[in-house]
Order: sequence, then structure tokens, then C-alpha cells
Amino acid sequence: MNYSKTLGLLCSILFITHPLFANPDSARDFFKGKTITYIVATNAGGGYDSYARLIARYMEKQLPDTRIVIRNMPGAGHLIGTNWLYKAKPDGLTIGTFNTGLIYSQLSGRSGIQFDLNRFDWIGKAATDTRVMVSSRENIGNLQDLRTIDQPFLSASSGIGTASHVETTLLARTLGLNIKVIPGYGGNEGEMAVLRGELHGILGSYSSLRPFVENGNGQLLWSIGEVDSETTNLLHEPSVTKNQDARALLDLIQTTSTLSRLTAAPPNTPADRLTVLREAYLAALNSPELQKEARRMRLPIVPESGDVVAAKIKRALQPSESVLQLFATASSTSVAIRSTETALGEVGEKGKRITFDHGGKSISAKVSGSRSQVFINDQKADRADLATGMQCKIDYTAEGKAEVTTMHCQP
Amino acid sequence: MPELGISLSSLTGLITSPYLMGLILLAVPLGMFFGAMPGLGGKLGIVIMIPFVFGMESTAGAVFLLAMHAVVHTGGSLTSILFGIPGTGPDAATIVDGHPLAIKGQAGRALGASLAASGFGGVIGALVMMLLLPVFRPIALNFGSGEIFLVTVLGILFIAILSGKQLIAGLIIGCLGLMCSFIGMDPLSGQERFTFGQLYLWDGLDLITAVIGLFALPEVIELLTRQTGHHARFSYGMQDTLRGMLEVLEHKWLALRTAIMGAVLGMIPGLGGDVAAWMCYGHAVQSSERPEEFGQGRIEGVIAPETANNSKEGGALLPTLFLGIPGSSGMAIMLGALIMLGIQPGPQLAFNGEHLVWTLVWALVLANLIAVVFFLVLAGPMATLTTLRSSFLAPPVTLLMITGCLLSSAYWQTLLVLLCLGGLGLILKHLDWPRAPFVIGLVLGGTAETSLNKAYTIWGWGFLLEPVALILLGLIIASLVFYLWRRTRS
Repeated sequence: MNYSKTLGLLCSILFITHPLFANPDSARDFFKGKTITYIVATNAGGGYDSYARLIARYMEKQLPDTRIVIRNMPGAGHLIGTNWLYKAKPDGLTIGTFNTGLIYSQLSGRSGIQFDLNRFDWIGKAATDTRVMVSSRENIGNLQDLRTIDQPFLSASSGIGTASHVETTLLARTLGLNIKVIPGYGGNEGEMAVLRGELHGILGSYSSLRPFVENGNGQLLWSIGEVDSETTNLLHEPSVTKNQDARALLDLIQTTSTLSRLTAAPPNTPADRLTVLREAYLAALNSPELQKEARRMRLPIVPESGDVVAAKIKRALQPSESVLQLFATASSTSVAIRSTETALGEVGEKGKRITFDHGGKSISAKVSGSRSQVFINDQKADRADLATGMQCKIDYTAEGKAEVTTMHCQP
Repeated sequence: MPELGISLSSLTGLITSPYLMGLILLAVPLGMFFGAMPGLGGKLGIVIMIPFVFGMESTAGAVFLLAMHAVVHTGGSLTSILFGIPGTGPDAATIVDGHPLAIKGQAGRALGASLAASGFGGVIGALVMMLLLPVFRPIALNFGSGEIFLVTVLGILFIAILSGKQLIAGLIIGCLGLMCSFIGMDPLSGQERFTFGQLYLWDGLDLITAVIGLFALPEVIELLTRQTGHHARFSYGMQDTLRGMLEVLEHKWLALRTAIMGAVLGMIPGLGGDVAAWMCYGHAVQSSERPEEFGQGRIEGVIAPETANNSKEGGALLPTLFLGIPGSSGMAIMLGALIMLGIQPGPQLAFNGEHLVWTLVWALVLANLIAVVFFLVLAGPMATLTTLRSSFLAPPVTLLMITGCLLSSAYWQTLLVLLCLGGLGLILKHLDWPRAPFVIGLVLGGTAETSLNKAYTIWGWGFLLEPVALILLGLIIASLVFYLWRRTRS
């Protein structure tokens, strides 16, 4: 073995095992007399800010003689603050919190992202926010109702690319639900719109929608995870779990919902300092005083350490091919998708147009070469292979000129 | 009359409690400080104060925070009038006529009118809240995206009215403001518009920076270039302030109309806090005998937005308390603070929390009245600042201006935007073109676009045929006809 190889091996061993040599005691001394900046990637006063200010106060108790100051860096849907944190000096004196929905932004390749979530050094997460769907329409009580209604079910989202928008669009598409997502309802405007009947429902976190439901303004249609209220948990719903795409998507949404209120340090933060920060963070969140205060502020606390968060983030950023394809097609549309199982009627030249029956109406839909996905016998196929009489499950855009999004056919 | 009984017992409970009155007395100057310091504002005030009220009994904590929040705009008019720098976004409308009055040496008069209008607006806002309590739910529920769009159209029409004799110039500037409001992310497609690859511009232009650039920067440059002499021509006397206060009485119907307009506009979630002040300013111009004199120092131009600023807080409290849905961004943070104090907003509060609700209403009234007294004491020494030599005044005003911009949006690009809009402000000032239409366009453009998108996606053009929409359409047409009639007559 030559000299350079030996050196390389030694370096590799040192690199892999360096956290084992990390000395939290000396790292603890490092923080004495120093100030940690806690970046909040949104304005003062919101949920992220409340969590950060609460955690910072109790982390200070865990790190004697250390000050933690909050710095709000709002803008561009958390991107400005997160980009800044990613490039900050990795000395343990800068940490930050931002929207978990950035996982979706990274998956859909949104512009403006200058970070890789996989490379952040995670300190931990503070909460779990189980997703629920709330409906104010009395004639819609379950999933099947959403599949069969004629008029689209209008659901609120604060904007294109936000977690609720992406999740609602993709769930509707995968489960064949007649849902149309209307963006532009920031803050509590969505709830107000549901209240006055302008919209029919909203997908959001249980903790934020719970008071709305408890005030009698709507009912839970489903949840993705456990909630202390009787409703369909999509993770155990047989009609959903037999759909492979839906299972993969639900897995991603559930993982994301367990990663609420994340805190990270920039990549390459010294391991011993990271350990101190993780310990202080977890100890703060587990302290009875913080939990009492959080209960009063109605902030759910379900803490987990940074190593667990890192593993979950890694898993979330490696979804199945089908979910990745969904992200590629759902980046900006908010079109309602209709779904039906029927025999194909006429098939046009090279399968570019098909006709089929849906609820007694004859539908003529375009089959796009690039956007529509065609499967025959569960194998990806070309639209030219489609033939009259095939039994197909067809998802198509219902508005304007109909276009197939996905179709699964049997000859 | 059990309601009256509860109302009176809440009032006596409040004024006979030294603890609660002490909290209000502490909250009022704090709120005025947060308002007067450009860029800080009421929202940050609540955020900073939350740790202090934590642990307080729920009514006491709520009274303290509400009293503080209620008078933010009373304090905010100080820097708007004296230096042309808005303390908060909604105070920006006061600059258009308030600052020219200060330059003319009538700072005392403008401050007097502002403080009486603020106090009056705050009290009327609380009264409107009490009166609308039984009917506010149908009002709030009838204001959907379509109706919000029509309200913004009504506001955009004021661009023409605010342009006075220079209609074409006003329309050009108004359209420029509208265009600038479209900077950022397209709400429907998620695409970037006019952002030049800068993440900073994704959220659009910051209103405070825009107003400081357009109105304050040109004044400061004038101060700096004028080596000698005073900012204002003559000194301040208490009689000026009293004269200003009495002028609110002279314009009592305008004050009443704008107070009610402010409270109702404040009640509609999604319209935004800045809209009420500008709408009411536009209404003052529209209903004035001499609309062409606005922008040069008309006292109605101070009274209308100041009344609306304080009355809208009463209106905004209704959906916050009884629907759990905040009427403004400030109220959104207030909502969080109330929950933290153990108050659960929602319809049930009307049944089991009447005492608390009435205590809050009276706290709103008292805070506004006490703020008038504080302001009266402060107005004198503050107004004399404008009589300082320009060379003394310019550096601290420049510092205040830059601090205001950076507190509002703490990025270096803010200073670039300030310079660009300052340049525009200078050109407009030089050409004697109106600057208010730009801000109207900037304030209303985004809301107009988003609400039209939502309404059209949901109902198509059918949203124009809803009952409230038809009333608003009638108002729009009436305003237009009235404007054209007056223009042809003159």
C-alpha cells in the first residue's frame, strides 16, 4: 500500500468516526459567553416564530451563559431564510427553522432553491401536524362522495407550491377525486371562505383546523395519521391502500407531517457542537415547563432528535418513481381531475383522441404524447396501443378541452 | 335589557379596577411608541409584549394587548405628519396632506386634527362593533372574493379622483403603481413576474419603503440642499393643536362616514389593513368641494385616514373574537396571543364570554381617549422639531427614514428600492404630478388581482350578479357618474 493510499484510508476512517471523538464537554464550553442566532424564515408573530421564541428561551436554560437571539428573515415562501441558513458559517452559532413544505419544493425542482435539504445538519423537530381534510358540504361525508360528485369540490390553498396545494392536488389526482384547488387564501382566509360557502373544504394540519371543526363549521372527511376524533384514516382505508401510487404518496405526506417545526444548522457544523445543540434542543422540548407553556399556547409538542429527522428527510426525498412523476406534472396546475372506469369507445388516429362514457355522458378526450400517462396491463404503453373496447380506469381533466392525465387499461 | 346591564357592569368593573386602568395607562404610550417608530408597528409590538403578559389573568392580558394595539395608528401619524415617514403602512395615507401642512408651518393643526380624528375613530369603531354585534355574521359572510374585488375597484377609481386636474398624469402614475403591485409571484400560476431573478422581489414591493421613497426622500433631499432656514415657517402653539382638534368637529359628518367605513372595511378578512385608510382618503377627496387642493395640505386629508385607521381596529376585532378568523394581520397575532391567554375565540364567546367582550370594547374606547391626552402632551414638543434648522433636522430624519425601511424589510435590496422610488418621487415632485395614485395602485393591485382570480375561477362572471356585488357595482357606477358630472361642471 503506497503512502497516498494509506493517508487516504486514515482520512476516511477519521472522517467516518469523527463524531465518536467529538467531545460535547469542550463543545459546551465553546458556547459559553456566545450568542446563537436562531433564523426564522418568516415574519414575527406566526407559528414558526412562536415555536422558535419558545424553544430559544428554554434552550438558553440548557446552555448556561449563552444567549439565543431570534432573527426573522421572511420572504419568498421561506426560501430567503433557508438559503441564507444553508450558506451561513457552520460554527454552531447559527441555527434556523423553516417550512417542512420545502421538501415538496425540492422534489418539484422549484426555482430559487439554493440548498439541499439532505445536507443540512438537523438539530431536531418540535411537532407533528397530522393532515386532515375538512368539508362544510353536508352531502359529502366520505371519499366515495368526492369521486362521484358532478360539480368539483372546491378546496382552499394559500398558493401554488405550498404544502396544502401540492398535497390536495396530488391526492385528488391519485385517488380520482373531483377536487379543484383554488389558490390565494392566505392565513385564515381559507377557513373564512369555507364558512361563507365560497369554498367547500380545506386540507391542513389538525392543530390549526381543530377549533374550526369544534366550533361546528365543518366536519372531518379524512386524516392522514392518527387524530383524537372519529374519521377515516387514509393510511388504513382499503380502497386507498390497494392503489400503489396512493400508498407511496400517503407515505410521503405522512412522513412530512411528522416533521413539523424543524430546526437545522448549516451543513458541516462541527459534530461535537451539533451534539450539544441537539441535546439542548431535546432537553428544552422535553422540559415540563415548556410543555405547560406550549399547551397554553396550543402549540403541539412531539419532539424528535436531529438524527431521526435526518433519516426521515432522506426517506422523504427519495420517493418512488410514480410520486416523482406526479410532482413533475402537478407543479402549477389546479385543474379538477375526473375519474371513471369504463370501456373505450372510439380511438382516434394513433390514439391521439379517445371517446368513452362517464355517467351516461359521452366524453371525447385528448391523449397527450408528453403529459398523458398510458398503462396497459400495468406496463407503461404508447397511446397508439390503445384500442376500442379496452376496459380502462381513466383520469382526465374535466374543464375546457378534456385531456387524459393517466389511464390504466386491460385489453 | 340584559345586554345594557352587562355592558355597564363591564365598564364600571374596568374603570374601578386600578390594576386594569394601570395596564391601559402603561399600554397606551407603548402602543404609540410602536406606531411612531417607523417599521416597528403594532404587530411587532404584540410579539415583543407576549412574554410580559404571559402568566397574567386572561382579561388583564387581553385588555393590555388590545389597548396597546388600538392606539398604534394614533402614534403612527406623528412621523407621517412631521417628517413624511409613515410609522406603519396604514399611516401612509396621512402623509399626502399631513406632511404638506407641516411644511406650511401648520404641524400643530395637522397633529391636532389627527389626534382628535384618531380618538373619534377609535371610539366610533368600538361603538360600531357593539352595534354590529348581532348582524356582523351575515355582513362578513356576504363579503366573498367577488365583493372584495369590487371594493378594490371602487378604491382604484379613486386614482382618477385623487389626480385632480392632472387626470392623465394621475392615471399614468396609478397604472405604474398597479404594475408595481404585480411584482412577485403570480398567485394563479406560481410564475415569477418582474423579479429579475431576485428572491427579494418574490413578495413584491414593501409598502413602507415605497411610501418613504416617494414622499419622504424628496423632502429630505430638499432639506439637505436647503442649507439655511427652517423646515417650517413658523413655530408651534397649543392653540394650533386645539384648532386642528376643533376642525374634526367642523367635518363631523366626514369623520363619522369614514369611521363607519373604516370599521366595516376592517371587518372583512382579506381586504388588508392598508386599504381602509386609502379608501377613506379617496372618499374625502371625492366628497370635498375642492378636490384639487388635496395633496397640498387639506385638513380633511388628515381627518379621513386617521379616523379610519383607528375605527378599523374595532371592526377587525369582530371576526377575530367571534369567528376566530382575524380581520387584519395585526389581529392574526392578537388572536394567537388571546389563545395563549386562555381565551378561545369563536361563536361561543357571544354566549359565555359577554363580560369579557364588553370589557374589551370599553378598553378600546378608553385607550383611544387616553391616547388623545398623551398625544396632546407630546404634540407640542414634537411639533417644534419641525422648526429646527434644516441642517440639524436632515441627518436624524435620514436616519429615521433608513431605519424605518430596514425595520420593515431588513435586506440591502430595500435601500435600492428606496433609492429607485425616491428618484421617481423626486421626478414627480419636480413635475408637480400627484404621487398618491401610485400608492393606491400598489396597495390595491395585489388584492384586486387575487380576488378577481378567485371569484372568476369559482363563479365565472356570475359573481357580478350577487346581491352585495350589485350594490357595489351601483356604487362604482354612481361614483363614476358623480366624478364625470363634477368634472364637466367645473
